[in-house]
Amino acid sequence: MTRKLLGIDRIVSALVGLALLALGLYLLDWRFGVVGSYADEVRIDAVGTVADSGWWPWAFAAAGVLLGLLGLYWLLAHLRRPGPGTRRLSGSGAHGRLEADLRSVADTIAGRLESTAPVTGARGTTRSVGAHTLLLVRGQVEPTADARELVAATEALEAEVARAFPTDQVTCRVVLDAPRRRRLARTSNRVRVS
Amino acid sequence: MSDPTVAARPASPPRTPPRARPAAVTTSAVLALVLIALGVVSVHDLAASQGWSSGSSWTRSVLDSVEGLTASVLVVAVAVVLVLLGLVVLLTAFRPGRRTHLPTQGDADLWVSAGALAALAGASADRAPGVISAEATRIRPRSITVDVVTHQDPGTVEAAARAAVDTSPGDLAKTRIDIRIKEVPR
Repeated sequence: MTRKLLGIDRIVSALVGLALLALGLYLLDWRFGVVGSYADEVRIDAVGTVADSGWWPWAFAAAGVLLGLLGLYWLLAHLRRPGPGTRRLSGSGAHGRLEADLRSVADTIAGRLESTAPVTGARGTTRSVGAHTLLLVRGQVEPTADARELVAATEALEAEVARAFPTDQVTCRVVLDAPRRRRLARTSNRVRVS
Repeated sequence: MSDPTVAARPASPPRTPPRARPAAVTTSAVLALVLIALGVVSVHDLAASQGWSSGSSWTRSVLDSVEGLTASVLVVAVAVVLVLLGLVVLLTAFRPGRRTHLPTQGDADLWVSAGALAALAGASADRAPGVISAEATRIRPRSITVDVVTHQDPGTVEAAARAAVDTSPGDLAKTRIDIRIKEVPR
């Protein structure tokens, strides 16, 4: 999800909130008549005439399908990967453009973290933070992990990324979640001596 | 003088915390589904009006049910719900998503969830001598409580569990970890 899409979501949410609020206040005013005066009953004669006309179903279907497709596009837009896919490196010049495929790098460092730290299910993505690019690695910590190992592995990963991108404002971040709950086995292999 | 063999670390980006999706995303997802549903209704009504399918127009049915509606108590109840819902949607539209992870101490850009910290603390306490079982039960970003079951001397076991938790996760994040002993008969 991009920042632009989030901005659209926020504006649309605010408009929907205002519309719901206005409709609710209008209905309350209909009942209590504080601001305006309204008919006692809802009459839909004019609307009914339009709804019964021959052109209305076609116009409504055309508009409805367009809005439906817009809704589908909007919904699917939230599933897109948010971060940049590539980054132009400072080595680019008149002789050619040098780009790094950041998503492959993120996937690679996720695998690297899994092999060097007690972390499972590591996945790499990218994020933009201002002019910086974050290589974001998310994973689940193993319960038996030593916290110092996690810190050391993250620092080692950061150092490797710093060596790979010395002047390109690309850094890495590790975000760890709780381990996924495993279904308990019927027979436990734990033996406790006390 | 700096060591030329050590790569210069690029300036760190601002440490903006990882966040969950804001509430505005949920609102817009619901609205997108409403738009898709509107498309389905419009095609259904077209098919019904042209005799391509059996059944009647849904929009016509809605209009018929609204005809003659008065400002009853039910309308007031619906209005109150709409006002409250509108306020909630409006107030949450610009709220950032909640923070999902805690920063760790030190320079590493490492973030852990309270659940991850609790898992580490629970497993460490579980391995301490004299502990029958240990599990993190109250998990909050500011404090975690680990329930330790033992049938030995509570003071000794608590000290052992505390020492284990101080080793890992230790001071990984600024979250207080409390040990609660539950003594069971031997």
